[in-house]
Amino acid sequence: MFIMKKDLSKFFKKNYKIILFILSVITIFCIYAKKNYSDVKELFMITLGLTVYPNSFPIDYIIFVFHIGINLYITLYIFYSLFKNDIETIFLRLPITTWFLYKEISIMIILFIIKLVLYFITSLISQYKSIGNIIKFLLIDNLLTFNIGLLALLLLMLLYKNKILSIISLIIIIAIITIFKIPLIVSGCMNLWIYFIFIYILIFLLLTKLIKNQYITLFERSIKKCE
Amino acid sequence: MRIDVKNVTKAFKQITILENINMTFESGKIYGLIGRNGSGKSVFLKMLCGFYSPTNGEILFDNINCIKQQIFPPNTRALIEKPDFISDLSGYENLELLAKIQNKIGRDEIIEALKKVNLLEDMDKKFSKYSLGMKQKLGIAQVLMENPEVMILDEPFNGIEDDTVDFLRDLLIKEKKNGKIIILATHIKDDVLKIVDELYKFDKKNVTKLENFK
Repeated sequence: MFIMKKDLSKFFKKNYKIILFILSVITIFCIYAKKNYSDVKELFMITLGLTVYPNSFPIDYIIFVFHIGINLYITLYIFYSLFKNDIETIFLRLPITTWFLYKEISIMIILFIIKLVLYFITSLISQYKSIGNIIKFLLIDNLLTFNIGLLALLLLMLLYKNKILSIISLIIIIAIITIFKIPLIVSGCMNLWIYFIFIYILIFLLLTKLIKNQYITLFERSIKKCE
Repeated sequence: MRIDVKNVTKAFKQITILENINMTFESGKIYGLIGRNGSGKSVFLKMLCGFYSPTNGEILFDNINCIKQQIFPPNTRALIEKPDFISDLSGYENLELLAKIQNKIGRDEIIEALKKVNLLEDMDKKFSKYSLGMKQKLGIAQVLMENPEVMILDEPFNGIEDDTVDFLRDLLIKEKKNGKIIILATHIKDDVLKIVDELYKFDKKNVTKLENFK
């Protein structure tokens, strides 16, 4: 509870300007994109980065990448937020694997809250009011986001272990995604949510094992980054 | 409890910070580590806590190499960096949340720890309203509250008023008599001279035991 309470409190206090920026960008984009998309559902999905089309406007792709950027920023910020001032308070009291579980819960809660606010604002502006679909999108969007965040952490931990190993892992991941045509956008994942839960659990267990073996490297590199 | 530091060297990217350190820490003693800022004291303390691993050598807690076992040292509490708690919560609430991690203690022990560091009157004040000295005292309280066997304190008296420093020194002597290992690091020798049983100086990658320092 200490870890999660601290993460939530610190994140929103220290990042309120960034959060306001994110909300502003999405709000302004949604208002701007109204002229390009007469279909309210399309507008809703494009604004929230839930889909892109081959003939989408360049700015639509930018917004899509912007959403991925938000997710990665929050994930990495929360993951590293302990190391500056708290390591002895926390890590002498609980195992590293338990710490990682609490961290992941913090990441999930904060991502969910941010997305909920974005969904609310976008629904208001776009006038898309299909509550059932909105909830479906929200849940699958979060599921996909959690997977991408964990994958990013996994690659980071592999990078700490061995640069070549991380490059090979990245190539393997890209190959798997390409060969099995795994969709990375929410609109393509609507019927695949059960697989993403399974993938999430798999990556989480793998990452937990890796962190348990690598935690000293993580401390030494992270603490030095913060010093 | 016994901590053995055997032939420990620590380097970061080929820059050696500490070289071939050999020390032993035993229960019922207070150890002082002195040296200028940047002499490697904090790096050494972080190695003791298991946050950094020695480049060479090993650190054993009752013959157990915690780093090899992938565990943190047992029954150990430390205050190394500037203490940071949840700013919206009171001093008491912060300690209560920390205590819930292992669930070893309750309200009485938390109150006792706050009393020991002279923070009882301010325990319900929000952490954000605490002065530097009060924050430091809360950091020491989180070290004391769960009655650990090993206490590691880096610059513990920073920002604390003189009468509380004297109070804390007496407290540490009492804890030592209860069989604790207490390791104090400071760049101000006078902070620890009155209470330590053994004194070590960190200088130019080496650690030297100072004799006849009293």
